[in-house]
Amino acid sequence: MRAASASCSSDRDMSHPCLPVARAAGLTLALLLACAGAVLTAQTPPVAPGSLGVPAAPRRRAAAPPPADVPSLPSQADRVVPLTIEAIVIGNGQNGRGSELRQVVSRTRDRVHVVAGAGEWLFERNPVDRRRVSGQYVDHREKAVVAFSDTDLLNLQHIPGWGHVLALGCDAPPSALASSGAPRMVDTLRFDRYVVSGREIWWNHEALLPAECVIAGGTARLRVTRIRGDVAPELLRQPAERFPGYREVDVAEWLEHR
Amino acid sequence: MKIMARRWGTVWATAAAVAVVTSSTLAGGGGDERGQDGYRGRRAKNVIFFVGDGMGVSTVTATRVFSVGLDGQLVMDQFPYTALSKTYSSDSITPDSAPTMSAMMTGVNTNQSVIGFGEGTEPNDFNRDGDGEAPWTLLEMAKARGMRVGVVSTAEITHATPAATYAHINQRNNQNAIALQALPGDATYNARLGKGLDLLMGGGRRHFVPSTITDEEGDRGARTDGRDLRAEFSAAGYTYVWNRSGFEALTAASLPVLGLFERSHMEFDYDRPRDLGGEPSIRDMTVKAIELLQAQSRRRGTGYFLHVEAGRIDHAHHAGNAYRALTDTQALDEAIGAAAQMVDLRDTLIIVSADHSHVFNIAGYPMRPLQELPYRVNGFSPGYDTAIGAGHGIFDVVYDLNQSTGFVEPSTDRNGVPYTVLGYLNGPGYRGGARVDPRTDAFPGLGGAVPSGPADPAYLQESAVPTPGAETHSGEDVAIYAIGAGAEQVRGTVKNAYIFHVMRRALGF
Repeated sequence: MRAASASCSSDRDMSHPCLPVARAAGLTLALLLACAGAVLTAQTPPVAPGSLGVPAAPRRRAAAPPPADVPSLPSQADRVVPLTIEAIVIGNGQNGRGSELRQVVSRTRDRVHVVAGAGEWLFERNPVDRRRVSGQYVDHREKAVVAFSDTDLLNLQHIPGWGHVLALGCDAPPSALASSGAPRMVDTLRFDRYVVSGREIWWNHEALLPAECVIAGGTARLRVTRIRGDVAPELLRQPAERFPGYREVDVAEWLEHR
Repeated sequence: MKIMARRWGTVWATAAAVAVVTSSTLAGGGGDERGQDGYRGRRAKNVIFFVGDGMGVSTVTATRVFSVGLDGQLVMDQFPYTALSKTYSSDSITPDSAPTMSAMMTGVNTNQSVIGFGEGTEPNDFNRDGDGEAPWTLLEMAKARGMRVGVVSTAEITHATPAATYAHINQRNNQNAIALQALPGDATYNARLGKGLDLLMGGGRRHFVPSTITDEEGDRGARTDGRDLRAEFSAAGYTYVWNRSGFEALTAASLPVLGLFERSHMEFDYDRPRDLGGEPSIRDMTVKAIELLQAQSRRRGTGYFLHVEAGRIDHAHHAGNAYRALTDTQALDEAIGAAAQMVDLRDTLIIVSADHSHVFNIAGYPMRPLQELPYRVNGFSPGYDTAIGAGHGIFDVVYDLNQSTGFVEPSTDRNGVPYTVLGYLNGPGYRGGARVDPRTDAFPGLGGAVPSGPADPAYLQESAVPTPGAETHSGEDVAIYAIGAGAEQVRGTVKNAYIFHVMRRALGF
């Protein structure tokens, strides 16, 4: 099955002594083949009119506006300290009954790990463009690690950039917006109350952290219940190291072959 | 004397390889009832084979309406020769991309997930009876004849469709291994590639980068053997590029070229402006590939084979997002048009097809937009007059005419709720519960925001069945379009393996 290997080296090696002889032989063979080809061509019927016509370039509809750029980050993003955050995500269910999902988030300046339900996420800040984020989802049921690019995270998980991950999915209030109403404390951190587009958010600007906010396009509410000033380093390791027997796939493979 | 004998040995060995390839091809080629020779038409010196992954007939029709209007013509519509292609694999009515592209490249049908083997090969060799013989791909045959060869894809360059041009493996997901089959000098190198592929461009950088480091765009690699194939390909003489500026600097002198523009698949055409390093479009890559291969092959007088895949039409359908499926199909059509303008169709065959279709439909009896009607109407519901902006109406709800009153209004389901022109039989667009008017539907689309309507690029078209993962492929025939030397062979209803024979005969193999 293996094709015959050439005993000459690459034809890019112009110094090889065998090259001129091989070239002469090759040219002879090529000439013979060209003559044979010319004989065959001379015997072929004429081509039907129009069958060789070059297609015209059609006039197409105007392009849609391009997608939004990656959101910028506040400077506090580089001063984030390691924290472990326990939270509840309350979904807006039908018939007034919502779902509740407990999350444990390990957050550092460059990585965020989230344990949620039957799986876990590791988000990593892009070292080249630090506004961007990639993610890996570990599905323990399927024993798979699914890699999400920044575009995948935007399109499928609604995460536009690293800032969104740091903020646990909440839309941070503008820094110039004045707080209103009573603040609240969660452990040792103070969170001021803001109202943005009619929605309440309790937020700490310096920590870039919410205590409570609406997430997922308004379909759920996140409420932080506990904050600790440390993280478990094991959780921030690469999933491939933590779960060496798991298969690693990208999103397209994951969607197609589940 | 010894040196001379070795040189002549090389010449005869090459001729023998050509003879072996020719005879094995003539003898084999299962799954194609028209594998006989006897073609006496115009020979092609070059072949460009475009594949729209997942680009079924409904996708092409919808793209036509979206891109150029109902009366318009895509570039591929203008190709004079067409046929229907049966896509089934040896073990499945509805195939995946591995057996389909294998059939189109070797003339031999095979099983799901298998690349470049026959139907006796099961995925992962789970019967432990060995993989058996590997039929020659058209690219390998072209390479054996001294032609230049190139592979371009917007998917990972080691993904099933492009991989089926140059690799043989019983499990398409082993992409790290597939990358090695293209690396000259590796123990698993596909020796049929001779000195190597001349051009390989697309996504999938992760299969060339160790998992312990991040690449040029800050993304982590996926190789677990610690090898950095970017360096190894460079050491083998390849010019490696990863972003737009590197791509634009490529010249014919750069060959052979390895271009890896994304960690995984390249961006959808709509999302391309967002890319960190800047990505070439599929049109850009096609033009560049033809320029480079044409220049080099003209110098040698041997011609070239180029495969170009629009690999993400399929992914957009799997995600239930028709907008990206159609814009990627439009981008492919632009690439086809660029190719047709660049080459001499008297000696070049351009052939376009798909590996399979999707459960994607154009539903109801949607009226053409108001501005395109051949008559006046007596009135219409609000919104109908702007439907033309929604891709000539293809991305809107179905509007229908009351033929008694001459009034146009949305068609509705039996509960009085309108529905969209485009939809899926299954997939992530399943709404559950009661249907709502698509124009005010709060179902989150791509990116999480509530789309502004069914023409929003983020909109997920409704599906009828909530499959656990993605929307699925479908099993109906797809189209083949052909123009140029040898194109007249494309006719009738054929097995997809016939495409291999069309290309082979056109090249005179």
